[in-house]
Amino acid sequence: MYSIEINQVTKRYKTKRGLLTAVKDVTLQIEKSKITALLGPNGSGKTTLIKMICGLASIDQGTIFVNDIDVKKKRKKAVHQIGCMLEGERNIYYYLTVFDNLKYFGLLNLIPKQTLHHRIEQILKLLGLEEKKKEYAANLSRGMQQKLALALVLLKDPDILLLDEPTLGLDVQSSNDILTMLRKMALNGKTILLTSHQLDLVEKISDRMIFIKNGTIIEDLQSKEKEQDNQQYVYLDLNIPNQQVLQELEHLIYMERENERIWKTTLAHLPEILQYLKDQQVTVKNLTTQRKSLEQIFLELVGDSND
Amino acid sequence: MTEMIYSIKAEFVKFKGMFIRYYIDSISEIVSYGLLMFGLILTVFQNLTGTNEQIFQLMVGIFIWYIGINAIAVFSFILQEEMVLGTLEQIAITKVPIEKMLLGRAIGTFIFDSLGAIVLSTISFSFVAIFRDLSLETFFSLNLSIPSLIIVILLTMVSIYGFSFILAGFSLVFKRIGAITTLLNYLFLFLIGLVMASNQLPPTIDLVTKLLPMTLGVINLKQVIIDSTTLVELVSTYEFWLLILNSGLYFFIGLSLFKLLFNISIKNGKLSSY
Repeated sequence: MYSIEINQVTKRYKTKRGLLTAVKDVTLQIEKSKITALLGPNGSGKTTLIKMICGLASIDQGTIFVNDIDVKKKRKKAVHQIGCMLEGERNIYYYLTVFDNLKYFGLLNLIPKQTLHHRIEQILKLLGLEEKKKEYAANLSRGMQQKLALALVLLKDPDILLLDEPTLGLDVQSSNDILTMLRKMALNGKTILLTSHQLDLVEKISDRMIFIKNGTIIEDLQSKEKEQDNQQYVYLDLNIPNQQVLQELEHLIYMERENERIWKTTLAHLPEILQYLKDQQVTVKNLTTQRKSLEQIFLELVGDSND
Repeated sequence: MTEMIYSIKAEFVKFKGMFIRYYIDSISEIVSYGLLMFGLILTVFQNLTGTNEQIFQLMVGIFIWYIGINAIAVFSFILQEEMVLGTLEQIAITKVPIEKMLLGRAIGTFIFDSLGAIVLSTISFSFVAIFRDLSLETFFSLNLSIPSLIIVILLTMVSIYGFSFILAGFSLVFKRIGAITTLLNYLFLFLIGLVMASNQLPPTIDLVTKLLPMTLGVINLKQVIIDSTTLVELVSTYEFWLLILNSGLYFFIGLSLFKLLFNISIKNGKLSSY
């Protein structure tokens, strides 16, 4: 069973320059109890997609089901399944204390007073905010504000968490804290869909990474695929017999020249490359493998449009 | 009903927090309204030879105006602030529908502001009593029907909140409507018959003022306070039914328009943009 099912969803916005397609014909299934990361440059459609899932932006075409509930037809019921943190710390009242922020949203989520205070204490403890509960949100560090925003999301104990840039602007320690916490939540059955620009951190905790560009999914990497052949580079130290062979090698699509002797290909293309080299009587003096970093994959997929 | 009760409780948490956090601003706001009330009452007294009933009617009218402009502020300024903070989106995905949250906020504000207005009215009342050399017994001996007074005030509030829903809807789509609300505050003050009698206005403007959310409330207040109309007598008047119609229409149109504009805002995904 999927927690979120997105079927051929399209979203267009009216702009001064005409209709802008923010999300184009996206089909996607998000597995239960997994962390899925949506990656893409600014303006690629990540936030729009998240807003459509939680009913904060309407769906022009297609359908979205949250725990089998149609967001378009039963927005209110679908939204109850979701906790959504949009644009980082921009979800809190700066003039309220940590406790009052949680109390306010707890009451709006119809949590009875008897259980609300207990729930607030539990969440504050979980996020390490218990010492800060009487502090005004404005006086918290950015990392703490982010944790408070996350606390507000957790308050109604949703099955699904949609987190837009949960680690935006945080130092490494705070980012790690939040991501470790998310990992634990996924292990406890929560489904998490997040966006982030911190690729190295996302890579550590995500089960799946979806790359989106111009409103379209351009790559969908499951966790196992991250280790797959096409995600691994192979560096070959070659002894090339003559200039003609060298020129032919330079025209090969699946091989790139790193320097005078070292050539790069992927593990997936290695068998055919080795066969070709054998045919051309090229000797392989050494062979090393290296897994592509997520940043390399990201740049290959989205180019340099990440402004 | 549960949603409304939780919403009112939540708004109290927020009002209390805001009041304490910004206590200098909160106190200054009360003082500014207090000064305004003194100024208005003083001006009226120096130019008119009002009866005790007229003075009381003026004070109740100012009370409604005070509550009214605060309601408008709550529905528009605070909503705009929440768009900037991003909390409006967070509210929109809670279990309380946004229109019920606003209504809860309106009721919460009404209670909160009523307390403020009663304090201000008492101060003004004392001021007037000293100025006019009146004893408190004069006012307590006013022959008016309290149930009629409460019903008229509540019906007037319904129209004000209906009108505020319209403004709230516009602020979702057009984002900044601060100048419009300021304009309305002054328009209401001078056109609803509070400080200026309707017979002093040109007929066309007089007709327009009758369509405003507070005017019929003030007309009915005059009947209750000055003419000492009882509830039974009030119900048989043409103006009372016009007030019900006016309030009902404002509330219905306000809520419908707000829902429409909220959906437009959702369609454009612009609930948090400012």
